[in-house]
Amino acid sequence: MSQPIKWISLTLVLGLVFAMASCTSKKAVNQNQTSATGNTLRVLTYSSLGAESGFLKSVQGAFKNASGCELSIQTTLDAAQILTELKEHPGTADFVVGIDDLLFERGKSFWAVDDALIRSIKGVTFNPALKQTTESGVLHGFFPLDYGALTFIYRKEAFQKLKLTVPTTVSDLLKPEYRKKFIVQDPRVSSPGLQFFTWIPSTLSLEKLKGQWLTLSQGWDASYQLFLQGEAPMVWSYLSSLAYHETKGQGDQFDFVDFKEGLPVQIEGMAQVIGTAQNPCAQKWLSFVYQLPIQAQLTQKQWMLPVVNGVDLPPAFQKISHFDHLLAHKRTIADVDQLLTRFGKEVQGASW
Amino acid sequence: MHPGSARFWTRIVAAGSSVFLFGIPLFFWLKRCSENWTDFQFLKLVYSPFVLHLVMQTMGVAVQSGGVIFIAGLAMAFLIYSFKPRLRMAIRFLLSVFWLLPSLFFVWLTRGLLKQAGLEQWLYRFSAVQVCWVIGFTPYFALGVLRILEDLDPREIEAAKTLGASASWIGRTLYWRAIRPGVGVLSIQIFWLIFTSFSVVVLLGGGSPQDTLETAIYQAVRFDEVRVDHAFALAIWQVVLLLGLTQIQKLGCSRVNQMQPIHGAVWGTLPVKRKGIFQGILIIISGLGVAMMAKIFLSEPAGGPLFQSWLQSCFLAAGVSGLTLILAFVFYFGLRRFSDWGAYCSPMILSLMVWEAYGAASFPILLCLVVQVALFLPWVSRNLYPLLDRKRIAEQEAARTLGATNLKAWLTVEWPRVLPEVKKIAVWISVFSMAEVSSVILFSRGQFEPLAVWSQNQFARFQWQEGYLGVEILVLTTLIGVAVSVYQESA
Repeated sequence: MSQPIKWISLTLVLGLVFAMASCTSKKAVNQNQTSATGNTLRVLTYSSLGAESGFLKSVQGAFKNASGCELSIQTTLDAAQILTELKEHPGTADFVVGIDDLLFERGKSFWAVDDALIRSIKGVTFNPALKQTTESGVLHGFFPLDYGALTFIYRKEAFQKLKLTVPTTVSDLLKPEYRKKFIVQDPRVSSPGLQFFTWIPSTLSLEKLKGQWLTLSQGWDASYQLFLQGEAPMVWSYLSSLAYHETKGQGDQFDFVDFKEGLPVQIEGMAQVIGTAQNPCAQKWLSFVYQLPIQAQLTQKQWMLPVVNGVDLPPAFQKISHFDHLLAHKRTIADVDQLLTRFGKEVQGASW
Repeated sequence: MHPGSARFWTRIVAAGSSVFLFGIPLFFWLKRCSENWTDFQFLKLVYSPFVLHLVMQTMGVAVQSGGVIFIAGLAMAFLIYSFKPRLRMAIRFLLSVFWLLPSLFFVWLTRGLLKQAGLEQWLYRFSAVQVCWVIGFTPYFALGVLRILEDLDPREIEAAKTLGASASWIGRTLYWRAIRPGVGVLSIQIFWLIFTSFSVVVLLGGGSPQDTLETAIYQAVRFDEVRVDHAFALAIWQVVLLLGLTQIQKLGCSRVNQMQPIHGAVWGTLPVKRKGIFQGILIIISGLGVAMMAKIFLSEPAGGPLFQSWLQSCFLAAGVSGLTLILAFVFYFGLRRFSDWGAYCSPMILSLMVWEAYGAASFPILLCLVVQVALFLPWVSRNLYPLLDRKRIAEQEAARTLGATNLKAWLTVEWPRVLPEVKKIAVWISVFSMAEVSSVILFSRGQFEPLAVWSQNQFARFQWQEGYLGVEILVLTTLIGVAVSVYQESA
């Protein structure tokens, strides 16, 4: 074979291989798009909840056995990106799992309010601590999954080494000794980050605070990873992180900051996506996920507290579940918009 | 040109490709920019305090880092120039390879160096970003200056010394006058690289307020809300800046060509009898590279996902490499001037335009292909077209007289001559495509996560060990690419 023909053939083969690869990825996307009906519930969630070792994958098999429905899981990097994903890829998910009350409010146009579905969970007895959220008319269509208080988790040894005292109020974070000593998450991408920035009083200067944090990470798992690597002695996280360390036998190494202002509570939940055909698996999923044994798995797989009353908690969770210093503060979507404008001006240097 | 002739159809294909690659994305970009034009909504965004602040911030860090790179690069070039030729050649080769390594490698290196040096407080600030730019781009600047210095006539300098000229006079009059135009072009290239830098800012900057135009464009469409108009407002400034830089660069482009340092770096002066040994070494390097990659892919638990990402990168790289070369030839014979359009945009802007035109949801691998082809086409044309211009007219004429068609005459006379360069370019495009993050990240999600983006995401989650495995594969791929390219050149 002459040289040019050999090279043209090679190029054509490469092109063919590439076309096959493209078709494969197209097939993957299409699979998601065409499986809206039938026995599949397409769930959109964030990375750690949908990971191999996460809660959703751990109950996937049991759900199929119990209901005959397949749980198809798609993930985003962090919870806040779920809304971006829904906007970019409309019609590719039936249900979202892992959004909190604030995200639910922000993405209101994406949710379907199916009265039959809401009625189907009437018999569920939720934890009294969540009464405000579960019975609120504002959050009509929001199905709580788990909850947890948020605060700074700190490494005791690092505090001793750096001769730091544990902060007691939010304004303590502005003190020079805490400069570059804590990690928080970006409120534009991360739901715990948004909780932090809506929790701190609006009188606290973000311009001063931005010089204090070590980094503004793009997700909770990124910030916690950085904290575990010893890059900062304190991280904004869930109180239940202590339960995780307790289980790993590291309970004496970590503690939490008990702010006088109280700790914000984040309720993670689920919502049905608008525009998708009514999927019988959705109702089956809700019945399944509110069963006590399944809710109990949330403590081990998601390291969050179950929303349903009467779940036997593992010993590591006993300490944090009886914690009563929780802050019931209601934030509206206007508060969030105001915060993001303030964030732009004071943190990024200017706003749009 | 007759309708139906080969040239006619080549032009049709070139015009069609131009419309698909540049025309449609540009149309959608302009359409979006002109929306709400009557109440000046878009204009208000373009001149919003946030955008102006970011423009100033990006220019500020670029000027600071560019200044350091300028001084360090000049010093490095003169130092290497003072070495004996053989040592100089070896250092030049190593620097060429170093500069070709993926930016994620420099992120990893900078982080490690700052930690080792006890400068951890520089991390997650612009300081770390600037250190990384200096480490990554200084070799490129130095290599460019070195090439100009090596072109100087040593007899001229000797004569000046003999006539009693002082060292400062020689420096000012001979060296500086010779390197000045090239240094200008190189500085602009460095600014271009800084303006379009993405991974370095995202991973070492530590998030807001350490943002640049390139990262802010990404944030506008990939954070909590999709604000395409915001992204385009930022893109306008970046296009204006890049357009200005590219035009200035074009004025002096004849003096220093992009990406030239690697070409002919070794073989020009290597004694023929040692080429066999060198080729053997290159084969061993490639073999070791493949073995190391296989070992990583077989390791648990990261090996599986890594292999999957690597395969996706390979498919994309093969497609980009093949299509870019085909289109480079089509544009050469069709509409040559359009091949350069991609140079006026950053990868992120190109991605944004393609996103707007063709929708982010459909065929992510094909969208990445479109962006990367547009991105690499100017580089390929700059390297390939001068070679294609040196036609063997008499031989082609002879072939035609003997009855060959135009195509047959070209394939017989010109193709064997350009083939080695085509092979080399194909290898380089594949290597660059595999290391590309910013042209892929907007389209990457779920099942489509090429290796560079996979590594970037691991780093973004601070899973340094997993991310490093990805970078190791990218570095090995680059080294294999270098070995293959140099082997081809030697053969």
